[in-house]
Amino acid sequence: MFLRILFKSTLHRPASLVWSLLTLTACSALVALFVTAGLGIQKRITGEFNRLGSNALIAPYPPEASPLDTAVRQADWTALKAVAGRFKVQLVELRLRVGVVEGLPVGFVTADCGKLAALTPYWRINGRRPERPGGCLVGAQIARRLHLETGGTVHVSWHAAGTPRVLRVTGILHSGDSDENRIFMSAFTGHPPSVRRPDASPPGHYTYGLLSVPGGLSGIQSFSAAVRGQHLPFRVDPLRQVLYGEQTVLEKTYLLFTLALFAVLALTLLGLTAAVISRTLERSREISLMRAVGAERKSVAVFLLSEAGLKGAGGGLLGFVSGSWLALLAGRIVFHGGFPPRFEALAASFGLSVAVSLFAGFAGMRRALRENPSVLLRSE
Amino acid sequence: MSSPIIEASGVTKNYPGGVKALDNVSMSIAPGEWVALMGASGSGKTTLLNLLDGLDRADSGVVKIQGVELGRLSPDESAVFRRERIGLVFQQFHLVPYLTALENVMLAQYFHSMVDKPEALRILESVGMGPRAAHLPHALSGGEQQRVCIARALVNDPVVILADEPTGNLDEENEQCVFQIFLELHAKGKTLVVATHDRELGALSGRVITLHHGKLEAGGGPASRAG
Repeated sequence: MFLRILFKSTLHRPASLVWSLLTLTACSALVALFVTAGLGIQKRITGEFNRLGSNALIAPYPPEASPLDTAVRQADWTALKAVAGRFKVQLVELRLRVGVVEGLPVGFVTADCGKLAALTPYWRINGRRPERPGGCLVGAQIARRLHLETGGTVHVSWHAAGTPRVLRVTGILHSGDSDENRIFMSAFTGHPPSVRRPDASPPGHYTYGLLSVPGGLSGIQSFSAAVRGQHLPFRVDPLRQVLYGEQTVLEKTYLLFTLALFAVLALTLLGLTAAVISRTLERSREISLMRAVGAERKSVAVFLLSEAGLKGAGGGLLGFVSGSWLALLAGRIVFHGGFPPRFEALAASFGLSVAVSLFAGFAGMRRALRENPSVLLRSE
Repeated sequence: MSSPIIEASGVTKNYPGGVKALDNVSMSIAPGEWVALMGASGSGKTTLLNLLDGLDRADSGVVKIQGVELGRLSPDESAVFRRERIGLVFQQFHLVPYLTALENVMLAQYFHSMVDKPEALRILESVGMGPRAAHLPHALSGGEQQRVCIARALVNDPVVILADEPTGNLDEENEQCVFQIFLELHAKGKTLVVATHDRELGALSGRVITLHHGKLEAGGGPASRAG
């Protein structure tokens, strides 16, 4: 009987029902749109930042070990690469050693230049990256100090193992960070093969890596936890400037969405509460009658709130469908690829629609229960 | 003489603006009695009925039904008391517009305890509304709506039936129909208190209590005294 009364009462005034549903649907559609678009944008921004290059650094651990004496077993690198593969992390291994050029100590980094290029697309290079052994990319500060130019040569002798070499400068690197104090060479051109050991970094080398981890800071934290979980002797540190940029853009996007969401919720709440109170006043005799035939206040309250909840649920579901469609459309127009529906959006749009409707229903219920049935039911 | 089923003693009710709706009214009604409350508009008939059904409270004085002092009950206790012991009939019927005649009767059952559709149908048939059970109120005539309203008042087998101008909106034919139902209820031993302007309905009742400007003029019964 309760459900019968509830459905009949809800459907009794179609115009009022349609208006309430439209309001709730519009509200929850915007909620669904904001949540879906917000999460979609986060994913895309993270993706864009990943395409822009590395967002973390991995280095041997414990840090108290002398860097140049830190020996990293090849097995550990292999295990690390397996973990990185699981997390879809791009990794480039860098080996740093100190060489002497014109009597000055200089940091030389050897790396797979193809992989390094993928993780450092933001580097500005006058010239080009080294493609063959014997070429090198010189950091701008070193180039200034040693008066090196593209096309010139660098004579290097090593502190530790390795024979002196002559390297050709293929480009000057401007990165805006400490990399401008280093010289980058193609992998393993910095030392003769005879020096390399299959199970460890060459002596005098400090091995570290650049990472591009999907998922921003939380992705880096998960990856770091997985590395620790495997008991690998590495420590993962986020590159703050990249993450900060990502975080700032996301925070501003969320702030904008949140402000818009509050505006939408406030307007919906005001409009719906006014509509519900007006509808309650229209129905005050019906409610008074229920009390006259013996309904307790809680029964009337449950009835009115259930009605509000039913409308909220209907509006929430309709809003989720509309909002997801809008998000798909907006994604296609703005990002050339839609944002797929998200469970979070369903939960948020449905929950907020029901909550807003219940709040408005509560205001109407309080108003209805304040009425004196004896006055409303009298014949004069 | 059996103890009264309804007692009012020194009841006074004022409305905002200094309107004295009831002024020190006392009366008693015996079980099975049919009493007509009569008087001009504004004499306090409806106010007295509202105090008897617990929808309103007296400013002073005591109203008791079956020994229960209504003024001491909370609004929810009043609702429970009403659904257990009182049937209400209104001049304007007050049927729920989106429920059928049968569902309007079942509504009272729902708030009382549990819905019993055959019983609700039986009550509707007893007031001649069986064939119209599935109709919505807007499809019923005034007389038919009043009969549904009476069926709703009767469905929980109340000990007291309070009717406020039950024939006020009806034509003569439907009036007669309502009279007939009230006569049958009276014959079954139900206690009826009917506020009415209708002299014919008043004449059918066993006793007429007359109110004038909130004061009892006549018919208060053994316990009555003019205010």
